[in-house]
Amino acid sequence: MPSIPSADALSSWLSARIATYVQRKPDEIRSDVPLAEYGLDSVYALTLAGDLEDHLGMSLDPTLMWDHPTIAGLTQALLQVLTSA
Amino acid sequence: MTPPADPTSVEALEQRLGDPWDDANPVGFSQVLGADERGELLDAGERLLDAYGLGAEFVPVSDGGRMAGLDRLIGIMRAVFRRDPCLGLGYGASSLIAAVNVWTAGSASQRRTVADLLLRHRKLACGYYELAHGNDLSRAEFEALPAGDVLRLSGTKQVISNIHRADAVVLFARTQPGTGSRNHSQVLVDLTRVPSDRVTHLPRFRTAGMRGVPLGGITFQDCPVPADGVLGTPGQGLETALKSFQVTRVALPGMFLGIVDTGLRTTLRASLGRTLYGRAVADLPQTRSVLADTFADLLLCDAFTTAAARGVHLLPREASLTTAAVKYLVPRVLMDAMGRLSTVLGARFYLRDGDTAVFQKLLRDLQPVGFGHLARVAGQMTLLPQLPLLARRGWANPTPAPADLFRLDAPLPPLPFDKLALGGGGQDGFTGSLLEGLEALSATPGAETRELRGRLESFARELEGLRSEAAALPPRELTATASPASYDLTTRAITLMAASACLNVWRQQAGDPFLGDPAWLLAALHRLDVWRERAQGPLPEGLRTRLFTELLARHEDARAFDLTRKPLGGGRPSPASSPET
Repeated sequence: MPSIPSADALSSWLSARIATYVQRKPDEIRSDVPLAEYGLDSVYALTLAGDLEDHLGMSLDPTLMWDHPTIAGLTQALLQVLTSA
Repeated sequence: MTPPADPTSVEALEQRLGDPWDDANPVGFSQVLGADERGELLDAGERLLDAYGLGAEFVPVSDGGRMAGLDRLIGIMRAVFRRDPCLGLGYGASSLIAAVNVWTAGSASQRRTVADLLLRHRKLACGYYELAHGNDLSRAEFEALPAGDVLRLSGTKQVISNIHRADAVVLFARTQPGTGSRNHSQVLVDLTRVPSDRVTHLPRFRTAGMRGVPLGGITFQDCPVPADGVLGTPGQGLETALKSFQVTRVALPGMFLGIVDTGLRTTLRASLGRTLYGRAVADLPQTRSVLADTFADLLLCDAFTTAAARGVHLLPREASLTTAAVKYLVPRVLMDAMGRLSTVLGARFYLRDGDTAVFQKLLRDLQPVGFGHLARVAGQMTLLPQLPLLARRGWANPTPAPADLFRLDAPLPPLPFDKLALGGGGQDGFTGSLLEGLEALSATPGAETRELRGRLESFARELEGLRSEAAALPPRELTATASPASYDLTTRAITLMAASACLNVWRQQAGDPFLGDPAWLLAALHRLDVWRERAQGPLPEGLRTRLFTELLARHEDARAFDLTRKPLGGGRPSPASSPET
């Protein structure tokens, strides 16, 4: 079973990832802003879910990104999935 | 002729439809063309389909209908499309497109409502489209905002089949403002109960083809409807749509294939009955070549759609991938084939009277296969974001699809609407089966399969390059704004899946005198190579002769030009009259 990252580590990883997607600096990505505001449309959920699966070593439903459209919300949701797995 | 034992079978439907070329047949081509000229759906055809109970084919068996295998549904609808695409779309497919949303996300009571309506031969309309937003569903503006225990509908939906006569409609609507992917829902609305002063019907949209299909539009002005019409949970709309499309975007091209079956039959019949340069047109090598190419195209398209349709049952997780691939490839191949056939007919493909008049109608009616319901490019856009994961997973460690997926007659479990997913998780069983099939061939090398192995190896080699390029795609290249080079990667992946479908259908048909012969497979792979611009020119002479002989035998025996070889209504064909008489 993979070890569970801290909320901070996960949140930073997500910011870095999103920053790569939209070609901006990680510190320009705010954790409380919906990702759609950065120009990420619905299909990015597939890309992000795939990257997260590889990073966390578990399988995820891409709709999790739709249900939790901010980095802060997604971090909490992911930690919940990780701890209940 | 003795009636088939099963009154709901394709054969039974074909018998009901009877001889298309008989002018006295109320659902023959003369009547079909008459209705088209008047811009009406053929009334006798609608009554025939009522009597057959076509609506039941859109209702799952568990809900009281006859919808079991998606391949069966395609076969039945293909028979309707062979006769009259307007009936196919206007009577049938448009209700199916709407109903699938209900089977994917609806409650028990919503399912009962829709099942009951379809079993009573009533119509269900599908209100998805807003001309301003095309396939960009997440920008749909039509509103169904909650207010107490009702939803208030505001906005306009356009180009909807049957909206003026449907008992109910599934509307794709914004149920809350804002960005993101959870703001839309499908709403099932009972049109017999909406307050009439809040609803306006738009004038009919006039179209180049499918002229008999009543395409309307509807505007709701702050119209209250019960809030329990939402399918699934509020905000689930985009997810339900993307899952439902996986059923319809393979089913519709599979149905539209029937148009080219009739197009080919019309052209062959005319070529046999016409003399030019001192011999029958069908005896001219160039004519035979076009006819054989088209037959190969039909077999290619049918192998791909049938395997993908069976895949929705057997590999539902990957259906987003395979059905998007079908939607991109099959419509283009069908439209190109029909264009090529028109060159054989010469001026007669353009005439609205005479023995080949149905051709010009079919040519027009075929076009929506490319853009209708979903555009071909939407298929590519579904594949694009999945490429990097495919490169990292399924293409790096290929896993074959279950063999039953390619067995034409193997029974299928019910459609697993609950197992459909937004993405395939990086798996691609079709490509896995391509490699597996090639390996099996290479394990028993023989002279008769040498050419086949050569062809297939060139497809398999493609995978390595595709994998490294897909792995290197930056995220910005995975969405609508991707460059043409990235879109091209999806085309390459699609051809591998199509090649796998043909190879593996062939492998499972070893005992069949035609489908077990490598000739059709080689022909289909050649057509695929032409399509992906790796080959050009007509089929080699040996293949052309083999395919033309089969085509002619099927024509004389009145059998379908697809994988099923089903007998057609009306039995053996009467010869075409020459244009002079």
